[in-house]
Amino acid sequence: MTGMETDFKTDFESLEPSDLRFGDAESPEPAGLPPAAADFPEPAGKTPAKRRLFRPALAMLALVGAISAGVWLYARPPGLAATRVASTSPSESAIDAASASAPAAVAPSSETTEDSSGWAIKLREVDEVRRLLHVKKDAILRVQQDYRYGILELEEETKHLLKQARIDSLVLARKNSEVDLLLQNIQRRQMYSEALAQPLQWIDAASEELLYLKRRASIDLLVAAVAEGIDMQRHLYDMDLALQKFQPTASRLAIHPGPMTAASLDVIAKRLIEQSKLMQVVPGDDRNREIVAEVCSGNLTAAGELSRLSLKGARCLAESDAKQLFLNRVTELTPLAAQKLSEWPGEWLCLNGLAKLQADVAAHLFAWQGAWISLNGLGELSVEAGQHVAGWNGRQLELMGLHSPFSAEHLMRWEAAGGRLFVPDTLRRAIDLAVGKAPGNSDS
Amino acid sequence: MMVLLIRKTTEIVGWILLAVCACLASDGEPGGELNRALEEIKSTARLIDDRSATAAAVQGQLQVQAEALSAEIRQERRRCSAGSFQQALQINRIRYDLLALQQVTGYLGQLEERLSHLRTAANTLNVYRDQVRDDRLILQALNDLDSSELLRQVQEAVGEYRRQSGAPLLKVPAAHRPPELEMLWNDLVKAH
Repeated sequence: MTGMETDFKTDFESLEPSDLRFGDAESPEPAGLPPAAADFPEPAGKTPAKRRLFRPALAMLALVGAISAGVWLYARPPGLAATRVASTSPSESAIDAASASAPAAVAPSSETTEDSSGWAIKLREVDEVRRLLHVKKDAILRVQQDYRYGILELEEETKHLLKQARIDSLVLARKNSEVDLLLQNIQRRQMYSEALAQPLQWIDAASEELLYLKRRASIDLLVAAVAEGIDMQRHLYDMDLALQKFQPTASRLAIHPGPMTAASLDVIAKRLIEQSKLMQVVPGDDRNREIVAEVCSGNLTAAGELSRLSLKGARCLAESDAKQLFLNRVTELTPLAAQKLSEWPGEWLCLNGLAKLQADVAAHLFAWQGAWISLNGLGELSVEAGQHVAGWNGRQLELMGLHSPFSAEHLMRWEAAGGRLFVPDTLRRAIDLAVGKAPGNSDS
Repeated sequence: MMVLLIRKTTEIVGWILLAVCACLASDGEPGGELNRALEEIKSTARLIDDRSATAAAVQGQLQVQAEALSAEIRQERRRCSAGSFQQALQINRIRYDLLALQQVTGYLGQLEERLSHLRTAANTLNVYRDQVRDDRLILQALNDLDSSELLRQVQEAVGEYRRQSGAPLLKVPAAHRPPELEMLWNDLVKAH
């Protein structure tokens, strides 16, 4: 760019002043008064004779000035006048307008400033509608996520019921009213979840079109001052139209779920029957279901007895306002349950019954916004799972059962970022040695 | 006192006459015309420089826009795994970005053309300026030179370039069609 600009520069600066004044008479400026003019009597002279002389002298001076101006006007180069006309031509004004929007701008005219502030308001309107659209989108995505989780929760419940009642055929399943109700609920949630795709699609399309209209207008605004034929009014019209068209009103976001979009009850039932056949009956499941029912009704006193955390159990715990959860008898945690549990707004989560931590479970667990996690039953922490620890925002982590330092590096990084790590002495010494601390200086 | 007044008046009138004679004399002299031609060339070249600077500034801003749009298209292409042009058109962001890129590329093409014209004009004026200076030197030395043809050419060029520098840098719709969307897409895909 700079090189290009340099190419355009004509080298008039290299012309010496003498070059431009071939003859003295050619000087475009009017000739100054001869030095002798300085000898004129001072007007401050107080005598009448001096005053009489002073007046004709002034008149003479004025006459000289007038004649000089006339001569200069007659003899001046014609190009000068043309230059001045050109400098006030519309295209020059247009350059000023362009400069106003350009970074290296000359001071913009008041009209340009009004125009640009009007456009800034319009573009902000577009941004605001897009923001509203995104807020709506987030809300719909949350609802959709809840529906999906709810479907899985109902499926889990249905499979358990099918297993418990030893239902292995479609006919039996449809005859069981409890199963049939669950199937209908699953289907309904599926329909709603799928129907939510309509407003999501509408929001995406609206947001993208608004962005395009804004960008298209911005590009034309950039060049409007130096271009001919750009219809900024048309941009305004299009944007106004789009701003009206894409307001996220209830009627525009309304969903129209129909049975055609969801799988039939029979299809759902068949799938769940097949899956239930593969399920293993775990001792204590009935007790777990009872506890979950209590938890869901707001009574968390028996939560510590849970040996398996179902999706429903995880949801009810996540919705509770308890500050501490001691789930030390839970020996397995599914990624989905961990994800739901990570929504719990409490402070201390104890999962000391877990002997292993899968990476996808760790990803959800260490996305939790709480302060303290106890995982003292873990014998080892894989590198993949440890990576998630490094990014956790919590304050305290207990891993007192850890004997294998697979992911010591990630633990050190988390600790270096301000976390308090509790590990067995052997591992503590190893970590301290690695970070160059003297033994015994650690917090734990 | 009277003597002084008369002396001063005479002196002033003398200066006036000298100035008038000098002006009248210069008006008819080829040296004066050459000087005026130089002035014309100088002011026109300034106009062209200003115009070129404006065009280059707008061009720079448009190039930034084009690069940003291209980067976003490539990013969306990776994110959505859009392989073919038809697949790309199904993705709103890519389709709209391609449309915006088409608009910017069209303007950039026009600006490049205008900049090229302005560059040519600046170079031509430099050549004329040198010729006028050469003629003036010869005139100084020989007191005789017919520069009427050169002056005519300068006047013609100056008039033309003044008109050009006063014209808008861009025209919508452009005389030339902007590149097709598919061509833009192919260029982006080829580059990566």
